[in-house]
Amino acid sequence: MPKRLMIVDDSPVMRAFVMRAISVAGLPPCGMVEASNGLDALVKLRTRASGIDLILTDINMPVMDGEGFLAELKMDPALAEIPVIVVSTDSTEHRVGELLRLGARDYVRKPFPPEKLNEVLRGVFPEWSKETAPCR
Amino acid sequence: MPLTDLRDEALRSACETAVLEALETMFFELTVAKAEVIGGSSQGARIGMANFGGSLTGALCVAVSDGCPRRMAAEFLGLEDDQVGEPQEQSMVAELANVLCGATMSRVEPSGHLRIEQPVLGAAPANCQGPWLMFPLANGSLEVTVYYGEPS
Repeated sequence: MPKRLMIVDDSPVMRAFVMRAISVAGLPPCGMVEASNGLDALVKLRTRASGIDLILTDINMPVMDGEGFLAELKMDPALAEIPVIVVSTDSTEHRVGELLRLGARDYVRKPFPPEKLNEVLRGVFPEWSKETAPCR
Repeated sequence: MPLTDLRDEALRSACETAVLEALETMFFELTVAKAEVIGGSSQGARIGMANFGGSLTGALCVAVSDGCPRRMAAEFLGLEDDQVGEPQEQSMVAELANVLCGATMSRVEPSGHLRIEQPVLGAAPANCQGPWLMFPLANGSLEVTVYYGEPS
């Protein structure tokens, strides 16, 4: 069954770039849900039977930033087990350490090539290692 | 408060590395000649600026010369040039400022605390009076300036 990914970023072009990077990274087919900030993501996760398998989130966003989103997510028993990958420009040791402490699975620093997403996502979904069909 | 700008070799090196990495990995674009230091941004360029605070405070401005924003946005989004509109060009320039700011300052202050504000579009502010780094591209240029100081 195809995985469903949520991309949380206030920049529409960055959401489009991440979706493009996933599509050209040689990963299996997957569905995409977009959210423009942490609060938007929480509303979509809680009000839909979304079945999200993985969340890719930015940090610096209006309304609710990535740290607030991660903290809320991990306190919600229905959502806490969804793996979260942070995709952000801020890669200082302080920020990365704080996000990993809050429960992020991994961290991808912008700028990144599509191959980096391939590597990180296959780490979350080991079963993908047997599949090579590109996602279109 | 004394400001550090691109006259500082370490900052210039961090900025150059960040720009070349971003161009190659996210825009699939290579420079056509070595970067050079210039006095100011080109007339008519699209300018994006990202302010930042934390253990250091300052701003990074990026100027993309005429002809480049549409093609760069198309590469960034995997579209044809004629599929890209003005809003996408503007968003791309803003996101470029955000990405370059984080990539540069994370190299300058890897153990520090950084918080980048929402990037804005428009003219370079008065504080961006230091030198710029100009990266020649096939159809124009990308220019960047950055400065920082201790928080007050």
